[in-house]
Amino acid sequence: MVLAHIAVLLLIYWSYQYYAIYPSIFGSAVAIVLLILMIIDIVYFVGLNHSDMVLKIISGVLAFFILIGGTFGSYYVYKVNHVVNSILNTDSSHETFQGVFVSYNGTKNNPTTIESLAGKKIGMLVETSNGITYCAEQELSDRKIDYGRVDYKSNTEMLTALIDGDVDAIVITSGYKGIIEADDNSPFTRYLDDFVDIASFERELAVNTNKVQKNINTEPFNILLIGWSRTDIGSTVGLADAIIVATINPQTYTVSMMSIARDSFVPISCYGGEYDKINSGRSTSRACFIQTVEDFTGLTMDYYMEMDYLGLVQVVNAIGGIVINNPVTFTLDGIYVEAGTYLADGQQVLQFCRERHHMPNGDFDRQQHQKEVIIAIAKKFIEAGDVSLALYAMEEAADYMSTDLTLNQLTSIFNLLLNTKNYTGLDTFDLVDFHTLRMTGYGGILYYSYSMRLPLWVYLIYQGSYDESIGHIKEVMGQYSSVSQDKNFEYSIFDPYVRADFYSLEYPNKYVYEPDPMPAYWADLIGMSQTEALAWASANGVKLSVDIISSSSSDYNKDYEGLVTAQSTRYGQLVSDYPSGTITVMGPSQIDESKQVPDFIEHSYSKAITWAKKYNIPYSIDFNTDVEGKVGDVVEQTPKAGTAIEACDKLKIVVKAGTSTIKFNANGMNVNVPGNITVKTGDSAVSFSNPSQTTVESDGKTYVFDGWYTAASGGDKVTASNEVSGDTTVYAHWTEKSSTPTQPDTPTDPSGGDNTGGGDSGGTSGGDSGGTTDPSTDSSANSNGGGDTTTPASETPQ
Amino acid sequence: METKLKKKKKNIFTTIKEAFADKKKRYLLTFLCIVPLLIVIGIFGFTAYKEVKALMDLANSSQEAVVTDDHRVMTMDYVLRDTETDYQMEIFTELKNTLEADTYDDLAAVELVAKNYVADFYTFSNKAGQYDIGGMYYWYSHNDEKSNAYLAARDGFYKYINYYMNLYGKENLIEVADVQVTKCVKESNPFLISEHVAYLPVEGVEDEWYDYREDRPYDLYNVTCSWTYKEGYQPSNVKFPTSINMLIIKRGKFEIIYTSESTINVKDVQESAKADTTADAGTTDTATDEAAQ
Repeated sequence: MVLAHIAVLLLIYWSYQYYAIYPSIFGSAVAIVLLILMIIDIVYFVGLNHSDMVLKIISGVLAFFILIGGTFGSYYVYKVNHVVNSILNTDSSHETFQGVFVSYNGTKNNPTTIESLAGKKIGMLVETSNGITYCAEQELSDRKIDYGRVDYKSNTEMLTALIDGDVDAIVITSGYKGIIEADDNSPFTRYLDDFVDIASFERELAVNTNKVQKNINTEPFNILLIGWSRTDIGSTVGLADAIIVATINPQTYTVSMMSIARDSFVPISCYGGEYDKINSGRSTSRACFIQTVEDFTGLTMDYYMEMDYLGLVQVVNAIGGIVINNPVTFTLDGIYVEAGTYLADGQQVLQFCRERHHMPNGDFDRQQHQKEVIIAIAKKFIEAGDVSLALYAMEEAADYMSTDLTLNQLTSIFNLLLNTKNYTGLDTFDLVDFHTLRMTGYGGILYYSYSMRLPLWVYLIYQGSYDESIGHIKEVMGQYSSVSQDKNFEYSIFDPYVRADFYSLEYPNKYVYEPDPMPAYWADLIGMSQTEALAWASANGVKLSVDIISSSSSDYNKDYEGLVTAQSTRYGQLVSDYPSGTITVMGPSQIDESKQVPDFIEHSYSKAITWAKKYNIPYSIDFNTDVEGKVGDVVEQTPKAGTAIEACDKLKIVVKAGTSTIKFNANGMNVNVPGNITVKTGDSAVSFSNPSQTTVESDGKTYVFDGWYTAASGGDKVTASNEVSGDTTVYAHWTEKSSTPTQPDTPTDPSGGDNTGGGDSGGTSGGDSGGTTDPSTDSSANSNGGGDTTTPASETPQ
Repeated sequence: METKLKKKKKNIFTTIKEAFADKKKRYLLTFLCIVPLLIVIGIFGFTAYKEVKALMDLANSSQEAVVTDDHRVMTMDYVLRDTETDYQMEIFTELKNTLEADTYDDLAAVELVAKNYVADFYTFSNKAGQYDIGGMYYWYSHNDEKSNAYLAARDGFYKYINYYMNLYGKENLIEVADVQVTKCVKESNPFLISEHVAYLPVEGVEDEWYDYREDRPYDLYNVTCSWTYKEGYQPSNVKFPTSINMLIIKRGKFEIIYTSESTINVKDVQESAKADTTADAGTTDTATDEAAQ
């Protein structure tokens, strides 16, 4: 009996906070249960007084059933309470801060333990209220570690300083890696593997909330809706992807939802006013983010409600899906979302809210879709009018949702609509007027951070859009700057009313926050072609040298042929600070001599001269006996092979100087060949004479001399001594002369007629009688022997 | 061998047990348990009674206002709000009596419909807020027309009603005192309205639908009303309207299709109401919209 009473009392106690949802039902249920209990008590006591065993047994059995029911009910309500309490962050006066000490592998002797931070320079954010920096200081103080603090105004500034070696370590939010990975435009992605997490910490601190509680049944209020991606389950930080200021006026049943682009360029409150993208505030803390939105909009965020994207999936699945209207078929993160209007499940709805790249209007469509989804979910709850559905959905999403609205407030909002007296004949939900707004602007790499030495992709909000949006929100809250009552109500059902959009995409180019003009800075040349990189350098007044990785190098990678693989000056650095630099280019596997400097190494220097003359490139030759290589060969060249021709101001070659002997080989023909030629590098070229016969009969065939070649078969044709290098044998090449059928001899006309005469019976013969030919001086040679040789200035291409 | 008698320790349980053994004490204990229960039940019961009474007033989850018989025309879908003004009650009763009679004169009924619309729409003093647009029961409502009229009124004539309420108090806002019908004429030609019937599949084309509509004829009434407000309304510097022209059709019930301050050219309105001869080739989306709804 006693246990039954206890079970019932526990049930009433734990479920009392839901009284406001259905007061009538709650009151009735409690009254009935207590009445039953009272009857059981009476039966028991009557039986007790009259020593009636039957009555005692009856009351005992009834009490047993009450006990069972009470126990199960208490368990169920207790479970619901647990779910509700995990969502409702009514104690919004505290927030958990998770941070980490980080060093950089690229720095010499970078610290890897918290103890090794002693005596080091540690970068920390300047905070306007206690946050991660404060927590880090406490950690170090607890361990009695002395250090030098260096203040920074933003995370990106601090990370840049770490990479540049200005500090030995930094203190940053624990989810920083996830935040970098999630940001398409982050300049730090390439450094992720080199960041070393030394030690992490977590502390709960009081946050400053001076909010006045509003009566949300009668007063307009703002809720900041945040859709975010936390870096890990359990993490308290992440990037805010969806930012919506919802303004609700319970007097007019008007709800305005204003989207703010996550890349909006605004001062971040906890950064001491340093500008950054608005969503980065959430990567520090929720309090920082809310303050930033308040400072930016000039509106008080009376409450917040945030949901991790995973929670959206749970809620949508819990309510059986919602209808979406998707304009474009796409696949995102492996989830296929077809175009059309249909009932979508949680994953499809999530990707629908996240997708922007395929959408016709990019981020604008994404923001619109997020609002449509919120409305669709709310509509489904209201139309169902089922509190248990709402509680079930909350249970599913409990781990992913958080709000500082109280349960009473949530249920009173729900009740407000349920208890509305509707004299329009329309559905009650149709009485709620949703206004969708959007702060529009212009996005691009528009802001140069001098502290970070980096250009940033930001979204600049039009001043006109800002004024209209804030003005509209104030009207929704009942604050009108002017009142203009309509003269009358004129309406035709054949001319439907079309409500004008509450925002525009076109405003004058005046922004709420306008950054200074961008200075000239080093572009990210990596991945560009050499030509593109040189064009950039030329356009920006940068003197760019090119370092080629030749195809014979062990570092060569054909996949990057012709592309810049490294640059001496980091992307983002000012041109004024670094007016010159070097790029490393993966050389080409095949050189187009009309566009690139050929490879002259281990080739006769005459080849280099020929090329230089052909393309009007000034050149100089250093004949050097002290270098290794074949006499007459180029052993060094500047610039290297593969360099774009436009980057070649002058071709400089070093040639192995010495004497060499050139021998001639008849290559199987019975002819006399010229005698050996001994030449000194740099001397005037000696032309090669022909063999004694240029036409030869052999095996019944006729062969014609085709010239001297560097190999018995194939090779390069050479005509003078400067075309070969070192001791060389040149070979005569012979081409078979094709035999034409001979006319038969026409008999001689004894009468003296025409005598066409016949030709030879085969081939022709003739030519030189042989002997050697004196080598002639090549009057075109322009080498003076030794030292540098340059072309006349007039021949030098400019 | 001595046996030690253990002295019984007295605690709450033994005390109760001994009390139960005593008849008088038993009755006392019974009283002490039952009376508090009765008190608790009484408090909860009283609270529940009040809430249950309120609950009984709510019809269903769409939360239409509970309407008593004298606030509803039983033969047509017209409803009078429970915050009605005296004048509204008076003319609504006339309308109700007229329409619930076995036979009635259409012209007389149309006049009363027009009066009731004007009296409700142009009165702010009994409204809950911007969402509480008056006269909506008198508008044409085949598809979305009524909700569109509602939106137009909300963005237009009713836009500042809450502003006025907060500034002057609801009771001081405009209230129609008397409506006169200065013209009520039945048009000789029936009025044709292109009405959506169904979405039908386009023959030979998969997943393509078109909006099948029909021109339906209705009796048309051309009505002009003028009215006065109760004196001393606020805001006093605003000149609220005192007349309107409207077209009303009989489509089962009498429904307003057009309102204008200037004289209505019925021919022009008819042109805008006729079906488009090129049938709209709807897309799957449209059909799916319906299916989804």
